[in-house]
Amino acid sequence: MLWVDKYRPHTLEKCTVHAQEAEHLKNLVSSGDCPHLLFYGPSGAGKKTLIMALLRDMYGAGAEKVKVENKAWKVEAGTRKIDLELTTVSSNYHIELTPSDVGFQDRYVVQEVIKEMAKSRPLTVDGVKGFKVLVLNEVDKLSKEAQHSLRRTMEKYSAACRLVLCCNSASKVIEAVRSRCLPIRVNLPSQEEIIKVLHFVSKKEGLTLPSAFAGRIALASQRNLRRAILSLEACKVQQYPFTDNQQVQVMDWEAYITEIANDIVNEQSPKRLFMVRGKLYELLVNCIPPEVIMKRLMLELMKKLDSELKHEVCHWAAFYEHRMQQGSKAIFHLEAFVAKFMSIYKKFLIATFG
Amino acid sequence: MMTSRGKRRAVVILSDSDCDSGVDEDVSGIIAKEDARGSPKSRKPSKKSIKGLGLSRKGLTASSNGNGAKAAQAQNVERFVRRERAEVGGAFAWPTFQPPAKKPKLDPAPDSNPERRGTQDSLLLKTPRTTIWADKYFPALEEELAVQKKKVGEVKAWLESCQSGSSSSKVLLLVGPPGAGKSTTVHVLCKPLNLQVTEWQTPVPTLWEEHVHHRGVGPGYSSKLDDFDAFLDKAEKFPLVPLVPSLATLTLDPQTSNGSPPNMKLSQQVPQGKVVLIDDMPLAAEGDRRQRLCDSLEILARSARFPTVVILSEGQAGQSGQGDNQPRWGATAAFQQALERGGAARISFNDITKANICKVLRRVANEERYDPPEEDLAAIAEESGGDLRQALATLQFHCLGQSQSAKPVKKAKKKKAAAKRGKKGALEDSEDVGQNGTQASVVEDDLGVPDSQAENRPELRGRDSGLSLFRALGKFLYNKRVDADVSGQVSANGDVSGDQALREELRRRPMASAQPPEATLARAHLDGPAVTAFLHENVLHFVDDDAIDDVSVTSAYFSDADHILRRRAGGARASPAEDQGAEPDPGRVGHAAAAAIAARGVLFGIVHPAPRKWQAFRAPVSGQVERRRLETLAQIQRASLSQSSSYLAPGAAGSAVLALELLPFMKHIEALRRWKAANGEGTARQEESLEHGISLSTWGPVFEIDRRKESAEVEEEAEEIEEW
Repeated sequence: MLWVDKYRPHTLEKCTVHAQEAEHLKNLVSSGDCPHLLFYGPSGAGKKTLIMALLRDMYGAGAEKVKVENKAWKVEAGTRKIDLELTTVSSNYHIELTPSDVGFQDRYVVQEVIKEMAKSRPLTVDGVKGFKVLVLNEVDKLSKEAQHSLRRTMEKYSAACRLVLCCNSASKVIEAVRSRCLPIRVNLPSQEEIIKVLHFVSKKEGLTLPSAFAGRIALASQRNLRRAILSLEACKVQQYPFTDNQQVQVMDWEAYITEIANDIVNEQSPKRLFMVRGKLYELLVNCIPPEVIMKRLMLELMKKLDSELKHEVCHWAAFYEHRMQQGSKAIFHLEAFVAKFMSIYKKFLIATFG
Repeated sequence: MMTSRGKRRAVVILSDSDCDSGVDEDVSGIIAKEDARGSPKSRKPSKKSIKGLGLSRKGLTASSNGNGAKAAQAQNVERFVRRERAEVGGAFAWPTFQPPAKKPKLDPAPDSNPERRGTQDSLLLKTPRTTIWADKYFPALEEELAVQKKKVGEVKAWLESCQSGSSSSKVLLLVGPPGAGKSTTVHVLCKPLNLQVTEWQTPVPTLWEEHVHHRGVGPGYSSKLDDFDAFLDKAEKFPLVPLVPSLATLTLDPQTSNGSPPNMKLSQQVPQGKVVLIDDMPLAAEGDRRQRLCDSLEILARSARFPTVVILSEGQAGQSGQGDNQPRWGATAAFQQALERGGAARISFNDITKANICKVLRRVANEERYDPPEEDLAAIAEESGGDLRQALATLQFHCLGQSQSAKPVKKAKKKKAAAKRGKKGALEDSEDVGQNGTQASVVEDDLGVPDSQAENRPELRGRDSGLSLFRALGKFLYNKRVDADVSGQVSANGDVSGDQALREELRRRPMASAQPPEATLARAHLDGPAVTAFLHENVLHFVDDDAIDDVSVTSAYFSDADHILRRRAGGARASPAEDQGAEPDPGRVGHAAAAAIAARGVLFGIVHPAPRKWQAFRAPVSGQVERRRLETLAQIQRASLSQSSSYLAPGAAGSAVLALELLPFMKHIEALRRWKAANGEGTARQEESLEHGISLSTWGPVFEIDRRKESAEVEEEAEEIEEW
């Protein structure tokens, strides 16, 4: 079992990182009911941990007895039938799923699941019809249509279920959905908090962790708690006892993007661009989200840039990232950014060094 | 020049106004249907030529009241049309012909031109134009063939080796575009070898109602496939009966000789042997029937006793990009495979070259005593796309309204005249344009841009010539521009052009082709996503290696195009058509706009093209990448199912988190553990090398996909195109 799982807080009380938010949530559900919730914040901040702890606080240990199912739906849309398959995680009290996994047909899933849940409302001990909780992941990746249908079903069946939405960026969730939920921002833990958690974990594991090394892990993890714990475990497997100057693991895709950035800076030509295109394809094939590639690539390039170019490069990165959100094929926009960068950079080189 | 062109126009105007549009619509309807059904029939004239003749028939009949000769001519033309109908597929009812009401004011052309009428009358009495020229000037000698000499030689060698019995296979497969002279070559070559051609001819189809009506009276209904099998059976089993020459002139009629469909045409001499010629496959578009036909062809290829030539017409390359020809293509490919499995030899014919077509057209025109200007012939040859039969039909139609010279034209004199004419014509053209057009196009005409000339006489057009995908891509990627010095002239002459208002870096030399990119796109039947993807995939190889700025411009345009594509798709997603899961309509405005942006972006962006050399076009890999991404995604999710970690439970963490954080670390930890278990404690240096090994191994697919891309050759492209 990975340490990230092992040392995950299971109740709201045990949450050390987002203690304040946990406290608020605890008060919120103390009556046994809650509004629709929208958790948002960057990856690795602890959204999911908070949600799981919240469910446990509402329903007790029963909420942790989950079963994983590969559910199939037959949806009739107009004249044709659509077969959809999606894995769900469910307990007696909640269902959790990631509707964006089925691509553009996500709206059927949202509608069907909520309808199904409304049909079978659980009874509480005193005979009052209760509600179930539907946890939807990656709401920001839902298509606009799905978000709209989510809004409608949310209103229609709000007596039967509560929605807990989880996403990285609230700005990609439509206004109508946002206004129907209680938004909870989950911030990235600070460097110090991460170091504290790392020490906590290593104490539980019986390891001695030099604080300088812990600081380096925390730095490398970019305030992503999950990553910090994972890389602590990886470092432990790699070499223990820890030394102060031990290498912190870099993830393979990050190394790969660094390599791409080097390629770009070393030569600016169509041929090189073609090579870079191949590497970008490679990243995409390995399910690295294009937004992450764009961001990381930009950051890597920034390290090698003269400061007078930084502003312009940032501008284009933002421009093409925006395009990418609106377009369908990420490679066009990634490549447009790379080409633009090459063009700018070459001009700069010629102007500077002749 | 001027007068003849005027006349031609008159004919066209007449036919346009005089016809009750039902006729031509029906004719083209028939042909369109035939096309759609994908009959392998290759010997069908173009839509336009039938239409044209059908119309001129009317015009002529209208003017032929009481004129015996004219009536005869009208009859001739009518016979021609009827014949065409039989070839095209007689099952379709011909619209009943009604003599059109007299419309004297709309019908002045024949009567107002007594000179022409006189010549025609006299000529008609002497040589009635009963045949289409493609048949009339069917080559009789090997030398007359317009086909490549090498191919003719190959076929001849095969026939001879068959005759001497040394050939390895008894079946020859001839493939090539329609009108490339496949059947003609066989017929012509068989004659001097004294071989008799036994030809399978598809029986004339009858309406099912007709069968029902004649039930019990005529021969019963039999499937065309049964007929075909029976023909193969008979043709392959029985050698020729050595008939006496007097009898040999008999032609066995298919319907009277107890229902056996083939037309046995026996030649005058006692033949030395026979060649079975299968020119026209029965229609078998789908599943079972096609399979059956393939099976019988394979058996034929294995077991033929007599030399057998199977002719398959390939679909016109230019139309292959789109869906309507797909079943037909598939069928042809299936037949080819079946025959080659059976060990048939294969010779593929190419389009007849423009020069050869021109030569033939000139010869025929001379013999027919017409004198069309050289550039008309060139235009016809150009439009025909290597289809000689069609070129002849176009020429015939083209010459319909023209005066014939009294005697065959002498070559030298005519050439001079043509040259003179050409010059004059060009002058007139430019004057024409100068009056109502811009000055820029005058300059273009003076430069002798061929396209603009062809556009001035649309009545010459035989058919809408398609463009193959790769030729269209080439038009964009090679980005031909007018030469620098010439363009300098242009801007010097036509200084009014708005070019001067542009900043230096935005100015481009005029394009070599007068056609706008959108027209090229339309001709190639390309839609937005395909154009964008193909251009994107290939453009980098067409830019000079220093010109990263150009690439930056083009890739920005690709980004724009993709943006528009998605916006349209997103907007239409709510529409009912998309709801039904229908394919996105390529005709949609957004797609067209995206295609135009991508194409124009390439044309605008490439200022410094790479040195001209042959480049292989590659099919876009982006579709492949997406497919493989989904595969990886499924793999990741499956992997996460097998893990006990609650983080890794599906739905617990998004696929992004899995791919970005958990799996890399998991892999790393796993590999390290395994390695440690095997090696005990390692030194730091070994660890380093190990680390390196891991980071490579996790990126295994890097090399795979690179290799795949390298090997993306033309065959793969063909596959991809079908997908598109």
